This record gives sequence, C-alpha cells and structure tokens, in this order.
Amino acid sequence: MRDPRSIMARFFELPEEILLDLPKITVIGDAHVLIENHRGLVRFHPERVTVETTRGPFTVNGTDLQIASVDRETLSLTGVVRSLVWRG
Amino acid sequence: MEGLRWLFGYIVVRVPRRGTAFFREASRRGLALYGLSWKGRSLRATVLLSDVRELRRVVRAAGARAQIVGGWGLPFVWRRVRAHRLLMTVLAASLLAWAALGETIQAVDIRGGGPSVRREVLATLRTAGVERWRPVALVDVERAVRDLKSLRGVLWAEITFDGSHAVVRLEMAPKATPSPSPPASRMVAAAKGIVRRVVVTQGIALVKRGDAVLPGQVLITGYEGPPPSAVSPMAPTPRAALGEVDAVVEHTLTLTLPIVKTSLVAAGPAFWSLRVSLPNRPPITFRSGRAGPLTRNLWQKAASYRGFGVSLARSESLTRVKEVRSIGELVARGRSLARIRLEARSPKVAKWLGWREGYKLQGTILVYTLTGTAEEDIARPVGRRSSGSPD
Repeated sequence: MRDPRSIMARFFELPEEILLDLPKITVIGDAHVLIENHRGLVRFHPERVTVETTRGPFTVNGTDLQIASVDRETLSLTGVVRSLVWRG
Repeated sequence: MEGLRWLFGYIVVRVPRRGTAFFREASRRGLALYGLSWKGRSLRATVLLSDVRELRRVVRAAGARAQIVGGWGLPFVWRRVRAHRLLMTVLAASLLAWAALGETIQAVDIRGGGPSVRREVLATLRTAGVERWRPVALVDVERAVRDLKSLRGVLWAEITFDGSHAVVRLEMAPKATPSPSPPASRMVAAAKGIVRRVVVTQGIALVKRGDAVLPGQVLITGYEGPPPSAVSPMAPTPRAALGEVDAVVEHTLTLTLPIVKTSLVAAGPAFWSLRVSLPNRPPITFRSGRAGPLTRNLWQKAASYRGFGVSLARSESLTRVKEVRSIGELVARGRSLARIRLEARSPKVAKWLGWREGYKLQGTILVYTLTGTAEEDIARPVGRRSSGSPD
C-alpha cells in the first residue's frame, strides 16, 4: 500500500522530498553531485564517498572526489563521477 | 560563496589522524566543512571562523587532533591593518570624505526652462539652500520648490536627489504669442530715392519705375477708389497693402584720415605724381597727364584705389569738378557708389595745383567723403486695416 503522504504530495503537487523526508540528489554531468537532506557522511575517499540517507546509504564512485562543502543538510561533491549506488 | 567566506573569515585545519571519525562527527553535529580533501593520510578542511568553537567540540568528540594551517579573510586582514595607525587614519579619512561627498550636493541639474531663467533659478535655489557642498539632509526641499514656483513663468517645479546630484525639474508656462496685428492699409516711402522696381501683392501701386519719391509718399494703397472724406462719407473698405518697392537711395560716409606724408615726384617730362601716404593703408598716387593739369588724371589712380572697398567703373565724370579746393570729383555709374570727393588741404598740393589765393589751409588732413547710392526696399507699412480710416 502506498504511503498516504506520497499520495497527498502527488495530489497537491508538493515536493515529495520534503513531505516524505527523502534525499534529493542532483547530478550535473559527471563533475558535480549535490545531495540534499542527507543524514551524515559515512565514508570519504577520493574514489568513493558514502552518505547516509533516510533510504539507506548512498555511494558515489569516481576519481579525485572532493567534498566542496558539507553541512547539516547539504553535501556538495566534485570530481569525476563514475557511478551512483544505493545501499552500496 | 567563497566571497562570503572571505568576508566572515575562515581557517584551514589539518586532521592528521582519525579523519574519518572527524568528518563523521562533524556531519552528525552539523558543522559546516568546506573543501574537504585528503592529503596523504591527513584530512584537510576549511571551517568558518564563527564555527571554531564547534570545531573544537567535534575534534574532542572524535578523539582526533586538528592543526590550524592558517587563517584568511577580512577579520585577519583587519587585525593586521589595525596595527598601523597611519593606515587606519588614512582609511578613516577616506571613508569620511567618501561619506561626505555622497551626502552633500555636488551638482545641481536643472531640467526644463530656458537658459534665460537658469540664472534666476540658480539664485533662487542658492537662497533656499540648494547649493554645492550643502548636506542633502539639511536642504528644505519644500521651501525651495515653493520659491521656484513663485518665479515668473514657472508652472511646476520638483527637486529630487540622485546621490549627490540635485535634479530640478521645471515646467514653464507657454509664452504668450502676440496676437497678429492686422496688415497695413498703405505702404509709404521711408526714404528719398528713385524707384527701380515695384511689386504689388495686394493693393494699387501709385508709383512706377523711374519716379522720384520723397519720404512719406504713398507707394501702394489698399483703398479702392478715393479715400473717405467729408464729401463722400462712405468710407471704402480698406484692404491690406502688400508689396515691395525698390529704389536707389543715397548714402553718405565721411572718413577723416591724417596724412603722414605727401610728396611730389617728377615722373618724366610733363608728368607729375602726387603720392599721399596714409597710416595703415596703401599710399595713393595721383598722376598728371601729359598736357593737362593734374586734376585731369588724378582720378584715374583714385579710381583704382580700393582703400574704402569701392571701385569706379568709368571716368567721364571727371569733368564734374565743382569746387576749386577739390583735387577731383568722380561720379560712378555703378550701383553702390555715386561720387567720391577727395579734398586735399596740404599747402604744397594746393600751391602745386595752382589753387587760387586765399584758400584756407587747415593742416595735413585728408578728408574722404564717399557718397553712394544703394538699392533698397523703401516701402514702409502705415495704418491698420481694421482702423478703417486713412492715415
């Protein structure tokens, strides 16, 4: 059965990531990844960065990965992105 | 974002060990980290100056050790600059000057109104306090606007300030155009002359080409039929008299020049020349003919003399010598000049010319009298059509 909040969000055309407390991930080419509404940085390595989210850990694989900025809500990642993996 | 970071100030820290625990703890506590990167086994991160206290807690909680690599941004620059008093004084003075320039009137821009009212407007503004170097806050705008509106011809006025610019906008009342006067019912001669051309646009011409007219003489009339009189009280309806009448009118110009030097030179058998030198002008040389006296030919040179900007076309008028004291008198047939009279009062010249005894010599003065005629429009409108009465 679907989450009633999801139904409401779709009905009222509200942003789901806010109503459902979901992470919002924006990828710009293979050079930039912006993760909003994360739950903390788990692993940081130039070739792998893992972030905890409400839907489990989210991993960005690539090379020369750097964290441009990280705060309570947002994590901005730069480098050469190869793959994005959920529960990696 | 980096600009803001510089404004608030930031430090770069190096965490040589337990880097993973450090960023996990920082992430958990919500400490903002920038430029997170690994340098070998140590972690480097940038932290805002305002988060240093939180950074300490994070480091302690993570069991890590953080080394401050350096600090950058405005607070650090300020700390360095503060030590130099002279620099601070200059900085403060510059800031004060900048503020003063920005808060005082530096230019008054008047828009609207003509150049004729500009001076008056500026004087009024000055009286009301709108002038250069006056602080904008001290200007009584309402009073200035009121004063401006009291000026003659000003319908509306507004004063606004654009930084250090006082912009004065004026709306002027339209100038009253004089009501067109009714055209004249007669054209009369303004000067004495001989009519050369008559062009009548409206009315009846009373003169024709070749007529000698005197000042006041009616040239063109707008009345049809006889003018109203006691005999025929029915006044004819006056019409406008419009037209042009060109006539040859005489003009006289007299110029007196002191003679610098006169000399009589023998120019051959029976030829004589009289050379008259004048200040700042080319000399005039009068040359005698073979048989006749000097007066016969002297005009020839005079004719070519252009010291007065005149030229003579013909020479027959030499015979019109009237006065014994004159060297020569010429009548030109040209349009612009009728007569030149050269009067020599040099005793030497008089004697040489054989002038009669008793002629009064008045020093070395040469008088040129130029009498010319010019063709001009002499018609002058007289009377008003609406008056209905003759002039």
